[in-house]
Amino acid sequence: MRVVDVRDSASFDEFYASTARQAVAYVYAVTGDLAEAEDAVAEAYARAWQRWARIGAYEDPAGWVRRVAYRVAVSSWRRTRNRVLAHRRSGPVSPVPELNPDTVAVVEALRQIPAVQRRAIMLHYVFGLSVQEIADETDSSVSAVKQRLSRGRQALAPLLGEETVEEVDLHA
Amino acid sequence: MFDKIFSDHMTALADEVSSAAWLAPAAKVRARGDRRRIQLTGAVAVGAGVLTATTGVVMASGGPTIGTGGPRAIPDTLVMPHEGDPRWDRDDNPRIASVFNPCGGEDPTLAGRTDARTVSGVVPQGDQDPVPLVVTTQLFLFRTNEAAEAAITELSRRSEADCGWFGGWAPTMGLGQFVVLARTMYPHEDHRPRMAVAVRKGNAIYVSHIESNSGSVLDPLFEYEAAKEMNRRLCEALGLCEPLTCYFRSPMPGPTASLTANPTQAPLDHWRPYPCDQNPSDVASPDLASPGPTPESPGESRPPIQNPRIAPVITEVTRQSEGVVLLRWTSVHPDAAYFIVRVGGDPNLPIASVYNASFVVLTNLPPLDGSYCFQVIADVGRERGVSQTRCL
Repeated sequence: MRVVDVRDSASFDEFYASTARQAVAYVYAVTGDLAEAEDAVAEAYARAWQRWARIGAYEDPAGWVRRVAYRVAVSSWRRTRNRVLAHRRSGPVSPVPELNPDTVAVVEALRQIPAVQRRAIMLHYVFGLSVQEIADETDSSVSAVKQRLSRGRQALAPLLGEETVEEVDLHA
Repeated sequence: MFDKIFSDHMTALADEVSSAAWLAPAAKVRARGDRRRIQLTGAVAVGAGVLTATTGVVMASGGPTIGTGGPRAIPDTLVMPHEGDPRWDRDDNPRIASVFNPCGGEDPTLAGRTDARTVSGVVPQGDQDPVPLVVTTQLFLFRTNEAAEAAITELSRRSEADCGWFGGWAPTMGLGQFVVLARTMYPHEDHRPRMAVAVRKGNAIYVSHIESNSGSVLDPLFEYEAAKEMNRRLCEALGLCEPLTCYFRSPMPGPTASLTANPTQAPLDHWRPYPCDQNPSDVASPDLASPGPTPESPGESRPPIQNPRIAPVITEVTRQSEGVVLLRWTSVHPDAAYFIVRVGGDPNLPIASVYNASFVVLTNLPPLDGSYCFQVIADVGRERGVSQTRCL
């Protein structure tokens, strides 16, 4: 008997090319480690390929990859988190030499707020997800997401040189 | 106002990091997934029946070698995967039955066996809503390499015997050359899906068997890393050292050539090793990526002759599980090549080809709102017969 795999590599490659970089940016913003983000995203896409016949048919396969990449990154990130924190206490971490000063400032600001807030902020402002969608993706309640976004914005405002934060409708 | 500023900050960050990020080529990412994919794909069972009969020839034709005098007893220095983990049990009964025994009956791993160790436990599967799986790993030692080879060959034969399992030899998995991979067909009599991999290294056979009590679909990746780790431990503790070489099937002779060749020997020269960290298509001829010779292959200057008398009859199209379809047809000639066409595909090109077979399991078919429809084309020499379309 022969067993034959009929996955469509062309559609996967197109999906990978069009979505992977933004996924790296997302994981990087959450973890603060570009190499870790790159590897986690590669791992997530490798897993997506293994199940591509099913995942490729999802309404939002990029969301699936984003969730898996986040879990992969966080699972390894937690193992090294103490080491990173200890290193950070000894001086500022140079994020990525190639980034311009404004971006470095944003990264440094993001690092000063909790990871759950970073995640919510990235999903909302970069991927344009609604509060409800963020709640679905992060397995959280709508109220929790609203709170994270609000607190994250409040915390980031002074770090980004803004004095006050206007409350906005987050269109849940 | 601040919302706009904030959005600009985050978008700029994403754009810049996106530009700075290094991405592996898509082919490498797919290869990364494929290397750890324990599932019945591609060459897993290509020509499996042929290999079953002549594995010794494969070994002699360039496969990795391990000395013929192997250990007779499992030393305490060998620690099985999961051994010692909380709530995992270990059994050192040297005559214990193999948990992987398709078709039941006499245990093929008992003949010539000198020692055994069994470790079993329950672990969760899945990132979300994990389900419990019963995992059993076994190590068997045999008096000789030949006894181990006979045992794993029989396991492969039974995996192909259409007794509720499907699978066979799986040299492309990256676990070595003598690897058998099988899983139970769906629906299962007791609604407990099972999957097993057996790996032979010298006079040892390592078995990893997974069973779901919940009826859930088994993750083909499950326990793959443990199997790889076991390869290292067998080397360290038992001296059974063999690199985790992958194998691919180099281009087969076309249907015309197979008419004059002995079909029980021809494919044995077509398994080639390649480094597991590479994609076989990167180290082999471009033909490797193709499903096999097609009726439109270059060099076929004359059109094939349509012959309704060799048209196969599709006898069964069964959905095994999501994206997995079993297709059976009548054999029309002992040397026929069969091309499976998904009618309504884009375009209607063959999605698989097999030789001397009368059924195939297609995996990873894309989900459809409607039906799967197939045709089987038999190719014998320069004659071709096309089946009626049959839908699921």
